[in-house]
Amino acid sequence: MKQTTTFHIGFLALCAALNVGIGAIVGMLKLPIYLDSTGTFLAAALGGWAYGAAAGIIAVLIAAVIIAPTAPAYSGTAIVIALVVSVFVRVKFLRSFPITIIGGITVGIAAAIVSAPVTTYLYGGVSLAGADAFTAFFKAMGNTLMESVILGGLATDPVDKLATALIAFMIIKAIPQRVFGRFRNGELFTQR
Amino acid sequence: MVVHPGTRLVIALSFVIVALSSSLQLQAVIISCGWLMALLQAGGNKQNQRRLFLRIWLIAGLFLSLIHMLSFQGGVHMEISGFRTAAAPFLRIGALMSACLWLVATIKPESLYAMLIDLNMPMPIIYLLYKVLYFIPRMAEKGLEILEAQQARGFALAGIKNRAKGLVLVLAPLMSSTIYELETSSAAIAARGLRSPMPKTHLTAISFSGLDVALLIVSLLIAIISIALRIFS
Repeated sequence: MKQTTTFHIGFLALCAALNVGIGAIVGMLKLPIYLDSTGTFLAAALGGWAYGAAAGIIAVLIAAVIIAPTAPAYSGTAIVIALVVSVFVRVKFLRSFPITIIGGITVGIAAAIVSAPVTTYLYGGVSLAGADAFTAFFKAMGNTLMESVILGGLATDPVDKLATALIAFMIIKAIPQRVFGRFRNGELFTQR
Repeated sequence: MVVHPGTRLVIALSFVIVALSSSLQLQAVIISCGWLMALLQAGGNKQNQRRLFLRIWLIAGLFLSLIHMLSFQGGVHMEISGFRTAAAPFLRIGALMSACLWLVATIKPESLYAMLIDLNMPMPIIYLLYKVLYFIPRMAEKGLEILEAQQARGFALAGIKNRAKGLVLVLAPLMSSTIYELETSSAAIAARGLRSPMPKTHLTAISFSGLDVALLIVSLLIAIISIALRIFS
């Protein structure tokens, strides 16, 4: 991050709020997706993994009091998402359409695997997301709880994170060019 | 009853500790009391949140039952033995939800900021929290305004492909306009000395009273005793 300014703090807040508040917008459009990592994707892409992780962690802390008190346990998932995004952004993630698709699916797989132990051991297999129906199905088929949670996550997270990556790709295209100059990775996006 | 927000945080934390360190039956009783308290407090403008939290908890219960009781081995049936396995995380989630609902219902945001200022929390962190809580409802309002404007231009909410397109039509102008607004407000707040090391003040009066001290001692004692009973029994 270039020297942290009040704008950077505000943008971090905007990304965290986007993670929490996008649910309302998705609800208005009646879409069957969550996109609750969009802000983490944007923050990690522009400001690096620590900035992205901060956006993700703040979002889960705020989500705890507004939407789901179980969310803070998934802080590790937010950190992993930020890490994977910040690695992929070096290879044209959120700048090239095919790489964005590959990156989105990879982030989804990573998120599903990292979330699984929390969902299994802390919340008995329930994640309060669409994966729960799949988890119940795989468990009823005779798999262990951990296997069922991982399989349930792998059935839904890559699709959700792919959609998140595509939305982040579109948002980055809409952000004014001059804003990129304020961020550490900004030059990657001004060369598009 | 005017109780310091810090005391309320400690009471909520102690409640979660006591609830989670009890036996399953006792947990059910304690958490039911917690929900009752939270539901009674969360009236007025918190009714939507009350409904949301209850719905989420009940959905969690439904899925926990399905995950631990449903079986396809030898035909589709429910295994009663899975009920106890499902009950423990259901109560754990219930404890967290009732504590959070109670906190949200009883702590006003301005008291929270006042407490953080009194605790000498760095101003950028307080500003960050304030901005997140400001942006969340503002984004939903702005999103609706933009959606209505796009509909006035001929955008139709029909078919999943069109609705997905609508997401970009709403989010792109929403983000660019919010960033513009953010540039102005961050410059203004920086000019007003957000990062100046001078002590900050607040208009909301909060203070620790004798009642706070008594509540803190009682709630911490109960939490410590329940942990000790859990370890040594």
